[in-house]
Amino acid sequence: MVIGVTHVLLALFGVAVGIVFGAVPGMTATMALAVFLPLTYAFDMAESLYLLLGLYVGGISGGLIPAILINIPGTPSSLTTTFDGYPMAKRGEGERALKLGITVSLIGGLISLVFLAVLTPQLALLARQFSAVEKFLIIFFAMTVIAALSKGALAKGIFAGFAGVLIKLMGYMATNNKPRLLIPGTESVLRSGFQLLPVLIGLFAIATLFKEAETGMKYSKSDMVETSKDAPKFKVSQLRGQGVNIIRSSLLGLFMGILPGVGGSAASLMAYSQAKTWSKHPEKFGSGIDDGLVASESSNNALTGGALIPLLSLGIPGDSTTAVLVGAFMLQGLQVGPLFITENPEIWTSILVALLVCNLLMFLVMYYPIKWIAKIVQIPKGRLYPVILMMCVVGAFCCRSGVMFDVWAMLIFGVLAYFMGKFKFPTAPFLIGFILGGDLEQYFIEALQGSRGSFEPFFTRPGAIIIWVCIIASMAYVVYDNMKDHKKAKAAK
Amino acid sequence: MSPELMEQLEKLFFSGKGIQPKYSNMHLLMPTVTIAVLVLLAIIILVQRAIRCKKTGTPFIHIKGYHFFEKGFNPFVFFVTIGLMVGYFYLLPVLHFVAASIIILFLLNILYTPPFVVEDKKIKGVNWKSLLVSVAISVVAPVFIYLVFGVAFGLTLP
Amino acid sequence: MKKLVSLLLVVVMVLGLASASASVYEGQRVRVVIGSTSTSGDTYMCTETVCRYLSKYLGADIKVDAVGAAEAFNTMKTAKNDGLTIMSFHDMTYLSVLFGSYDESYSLDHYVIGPRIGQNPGSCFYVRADAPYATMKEIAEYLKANPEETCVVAIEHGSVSHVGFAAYYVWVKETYGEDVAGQFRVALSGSTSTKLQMLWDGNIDLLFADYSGQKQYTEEGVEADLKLKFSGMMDDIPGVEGLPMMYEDGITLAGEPFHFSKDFLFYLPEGTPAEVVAELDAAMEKVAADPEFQAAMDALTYKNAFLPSAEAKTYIYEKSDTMKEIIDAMPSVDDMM
Repeated sequence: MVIGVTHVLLALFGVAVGIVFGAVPGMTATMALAVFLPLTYAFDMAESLYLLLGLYVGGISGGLIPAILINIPGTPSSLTTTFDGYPMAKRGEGERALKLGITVSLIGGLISLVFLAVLTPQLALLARQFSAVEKFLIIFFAMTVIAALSKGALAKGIFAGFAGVLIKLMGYMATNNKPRLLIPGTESVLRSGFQLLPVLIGLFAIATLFKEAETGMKYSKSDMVETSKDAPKFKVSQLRGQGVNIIRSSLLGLFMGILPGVGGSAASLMAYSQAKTWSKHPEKFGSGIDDGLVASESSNNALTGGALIPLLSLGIPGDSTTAVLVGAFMLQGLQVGPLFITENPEIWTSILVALLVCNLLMFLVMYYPIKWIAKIVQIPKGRLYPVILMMCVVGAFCCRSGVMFDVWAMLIFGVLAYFMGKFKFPTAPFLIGFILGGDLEQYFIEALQGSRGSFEPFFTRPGAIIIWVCIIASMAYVVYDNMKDHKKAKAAK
Repeated sequence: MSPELMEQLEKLFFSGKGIQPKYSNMHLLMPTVTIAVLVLLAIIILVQRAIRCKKTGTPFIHIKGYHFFEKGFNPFVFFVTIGLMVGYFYLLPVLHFVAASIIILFLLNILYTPPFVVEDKKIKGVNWKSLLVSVAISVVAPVFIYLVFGVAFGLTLP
Repeated sequence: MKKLVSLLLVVVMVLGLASASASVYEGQRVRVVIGSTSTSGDTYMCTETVCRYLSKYLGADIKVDAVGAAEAFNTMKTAKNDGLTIMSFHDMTYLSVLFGSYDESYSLDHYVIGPRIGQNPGSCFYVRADAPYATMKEIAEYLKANPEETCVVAIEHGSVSHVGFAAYYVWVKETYGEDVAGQFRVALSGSTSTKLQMLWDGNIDLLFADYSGQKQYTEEGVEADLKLKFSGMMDDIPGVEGLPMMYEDGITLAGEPFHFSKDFLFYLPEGTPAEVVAELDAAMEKVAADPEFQAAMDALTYKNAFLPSAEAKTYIYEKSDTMKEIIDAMPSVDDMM
């Protein structure tokens, strides 16, 4: 059976729980799936799919809530949502920002669903053209967004980015199990290096906590901005100018999802930086412009459909969350691979319908209650932040099923971000470097092993050349943009 | 830098055409490249600062009149916050999640929202409403999280 | 008075015995860490299946965490020895120490060996379907006939793939000589997904993986550039016929025809009391006798191969000693990359 009442109820449960996981900083969709995976044994394949896909869609979407309201990304892919979402909330447009984000999340999810349904074989073929060389270069390209984000402090931004990469490399390299960059004495706790979630929470939440504590968590007037009376409300017409942006960002999210092993955060980073590059008013990005929010949220939801494409056509998961999904299929005795769709047409249909249902449910579950959720900003900081601290501890502790060191790591990075702020080093590039550093190294080493040490393929493969062109164009634009600003500032004197 | 490390780095970078990562040295490649880039950027940043300082006449290392903390710095709240946070992390393995959270949340709540009735800068009495809210939040939130995430979802809490 | 004292003594003794025989696991939460990060790999599937039934017979709430080898080994070093933290893993536990990926402090001596919970005979080598060879022997023949050609193998250092290849390599060297053996090159890789992609990219030629996981790529209807074929099965899989077996090619392991299955055991932290292990043994025995469990394992092509901890310990130590010979005969991976 493709769809029934049980299925929809399971999807509803999945979406709701997924949103909660996504909204709690430090808990992710992947974690949610891992928790519920063993339970799916009791259900049949279709029922499991509705539940798990609900968790997946909910988890990815839920991240925007804290990202917009309290400047803490609920999931790594909502990082770019904070750039423009939070300024909008500070202006009192929190509810509007949330509604806008939820709507474009739905659109992004549906766009990728259409591609999944119609073009899976062709897109899988496209994915196969990307070897380790191209993936390395794409991730490198995603890293250039750091430059785009660091206008005015280019060197410091890029420095922060590479510092993030270096910190990520601390620990033991997975492939050869050898230690590097370790402070003597930390060999056992840093076996797998620092984890993403404690770093993310520390950088954003803990650092903010310190900063607010400096001024005594004052209950200031700006906290009380009424979100309903004076602030502009969300209207569908506000989407009118965003058409190109939505489509481009969704396609980028879809594309990054198709590439196996290149994850969700890279998707929203790419979409955001491209939205900024192609925008008529790039200087407004970061101040609370709709375009930034739209790019971020539509791309990270478009990833969901995209990540399923390599999974269902090659048997290779498109991101870490779909990797857990493979286990769900195996528990039911199904293999995901090249013959999956042809051999299991009913389950394939279930997947498509389930995704549709889950996206719609996500919208319903989030859009209507969001007015109440948005009121969180009205809670005095002094009451809200202790609870946030507690939630962050839970998130950090649970990311590896109970490692206290991760809580301490969260504190360390909170302190680090606090000092970075004092010395005017941007923290978002640091996080981006940390997120992408691992994959960057993995594909670099893989590419070199494949070419037996030669750098030739990096410059001669057609895909690689195309990506190099993009990278150089992007960097050139950033430098040109910075110089333009510099000249303007000089002329103004 | 130990001699083995030097040897591995030599093998990695200087052994013929290209860089062929081996089992014994592949873990050094990316860190070396990254550190090199960081050093380069650090030099650029310092040079930029030197140029800017020369132009504006400010000293390279700004000591006089340097404000580390923001205006309105409240040292008591700031340092007690840090203390409570660190204390929280030490208490968690000992008292476990619910107990530790209740205690620390309560302390933080009354730190930020002191439950006192203040008149003419003197403490006149206790603001029972505020105290009650602090207690309520400190107890309800951890218990709720414990029930939802610890029991219902079965996640391991501290 | 004397009677009262002796009565008290009896009561105390009975109470003491009662508490001693009280269950360690009843109503407890148990954490089982596995040496892989994949929730679709054989370690997770086997462990998850076992634990589903084990929780019934132990009366405990068991959770399986796919934390990966490094994390799992270290968890065993630091976990309390109350039996509530268990590691479930295959031969990489001792192979990684023998290969030098992990130092002596991780050797078998530092664990309390629990029962064997299952066996996976489905490890095998795959090549691309359009490759100019179809069995392990043919690969060596091909390389002999084409001295400029190489065969790149993807392995995970210290794992079953490493020892599987080591056995093959030693056989090639003995049968065909140093030169042909030298035409094999090694690429280090992690997950099966990565290895598959490396194979499709043309960066590796020979891939080691699990039968049930990758069988689908060998079937009719798979596109030509994705298609794989089995080149060497490491052991007989019950119910599966007609595949190239390594022992058929004449490859040997410690003098015997080559048979290697992955043995999944429970490993517990050093110093775990005997009563804990005994309880695990008893519960596991019941699991193995459960026909539903047998059916579940059959469906996954794994063997329901319960061995109580004492026998499992002897077995795994013997196996470890056998492997040592091959590992010592294998050149360092560096020279083969």
